[in-house]
Parts: sequence; structure tokens; C-alpha cells
Amino acid sequence: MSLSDATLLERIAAGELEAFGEFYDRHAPRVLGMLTRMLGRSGDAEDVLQEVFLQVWSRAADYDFHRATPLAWLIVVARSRALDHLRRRKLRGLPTDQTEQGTEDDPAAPVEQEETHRAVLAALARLPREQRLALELSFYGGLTHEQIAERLAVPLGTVKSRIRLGMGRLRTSLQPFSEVPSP
Amino acid sequence: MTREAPSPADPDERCAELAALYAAGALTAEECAEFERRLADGCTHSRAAWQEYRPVVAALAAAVPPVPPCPSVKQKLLAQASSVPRQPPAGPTAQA
Repeated sequence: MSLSDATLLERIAAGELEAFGEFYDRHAPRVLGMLTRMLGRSGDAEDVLQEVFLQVWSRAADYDFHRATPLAWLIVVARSRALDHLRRRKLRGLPTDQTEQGTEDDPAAPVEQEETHRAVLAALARLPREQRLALELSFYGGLTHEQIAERLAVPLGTVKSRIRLGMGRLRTSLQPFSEVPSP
Repeated sequence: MTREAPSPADPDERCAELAALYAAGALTAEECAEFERRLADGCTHSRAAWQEYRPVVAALAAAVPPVPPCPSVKQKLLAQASSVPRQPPAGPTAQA
């Protein structure tokens, strides 16, 4: 039987490289998928992937089971490292906008059959266009609500509302796929 | 057009707003730090709100097709990990 993520993190915190390898194998493709969406298909995404998992290795002892599931924690860490990377790119005058890449019409995207994946795409597709756009720009595009307001030329409060409404709808429609509590 | 919108006066409402925007990755660095501080300080409203949105974070990540990393990435990572000194646990604000 495979170990839970929480158990793996405990073992990683204790310095077990084998547990670290297993945690990596389990989640790296998902994290790299997200990083590729945010950073594009250059080697940058794999560089950031390494940073993310090195952080997991060195900070696993800080992980708080009461505050986040391992996966939510990992995604927050990955997003944060990706945003750091985008900021560094911007400072160097390199392009930062990857938001033109869509999930639904990316020709390089493999056909996903997995139930959760389909359910999430369907839930996103059911959102009003402006809510979906705001969420895509923030979650995958790495833009803050201020930057989204600027880009779409709409008031800040409108952007916040769209994001909140979109997140609320997703939460409701994805209830059956809710995370399993950590042991 | 993008003037600062007033933050909700109701503290519960503020927590709910921060949690939703935090989960969506839409907060500024300062707001992010504020929300993580609330979580670290044990703010029950913030924790409850964040708990509601956590599954959406994982779900949004699941909406993107997985990309298998090049095998050399894992090799490099394991080599680096075995030489990286383990940091002592930081304060509770170190992670979300």
C-alpha cells in the first residue's frame, strides 16, 4: 500500500531521500504542468520545479498538517516560486505573459481521461466568461487583482468580485472531488 | 478605472475575501503576507475560509495536463538534496 502524502512529508522531514523521491514521482508531473502553464515551455519550468522540490526537502519540517493538505501546500509553494521567477524575468526585460496558452485548445496537451481533470475543466467551462478569465489570469497567469484590473480596464472591486464568485462556484461544483483530509 | 476598492469593513468578510484571492493567487505580496500572518496567528475566520478554498487550489492545478519531467531532473534533485543542509523549522509564517 502506498504511503499518504502526509506520511511521506514526515519522512522527508526526517531526512529520508527515498520518501522524497516517492513524493516527487507522485506530484512532479502535476506541478510541472502548472509551472509550464505559468512559465511557458522553456527549461525555466523545470528549473523552478527543482527549486520547489528543494524547498520541500529543506522545509518539510515546517509543514503544518492543520493548515493545508500536502497538495495545497505544494501548489502554493510552486506558485510562489513561479511568481518569483516571473518577477526576475520582468526585471531582466524578458517576456512574462504566458496567459495566451489555453487549457482547452493547447494542441500539445495530451488527451486527459482522468475524472477529476475532466470535472475541473467542465466546472471552469461553466463559469461566466469574465469570472473564468479573471481566474485564469490570476491562477495560471500569475497576475494580481491589481494587474488584472489594469489589463481589463475594470475597477478593482469588480475583479475581486469576479474572482470570489468564480472561486465560490468552483468550490460548490467540485464538492464531490473534495480533498481527503490528511491523517 | 483601477482605483483602490475599499476592503470589507466586516473582519469575517475581509478574511473570506483574502482567502478566495489567496487561493486564486491574486493577492499582492503584501496582502499575501497579511493573510499568511492571519493563518499563522490562528485567526479562526481565516483558517475556516482557507479550508473551504484549499480543494479548489488543488483542482485548478489538476485542470492543467501533467507534464512528466525529464528523468535527469530527479537525478539532479536527489544529488542536490543529499548535499543541502536541513534548515531548522522556521516560524509559523514560513508556509501557507
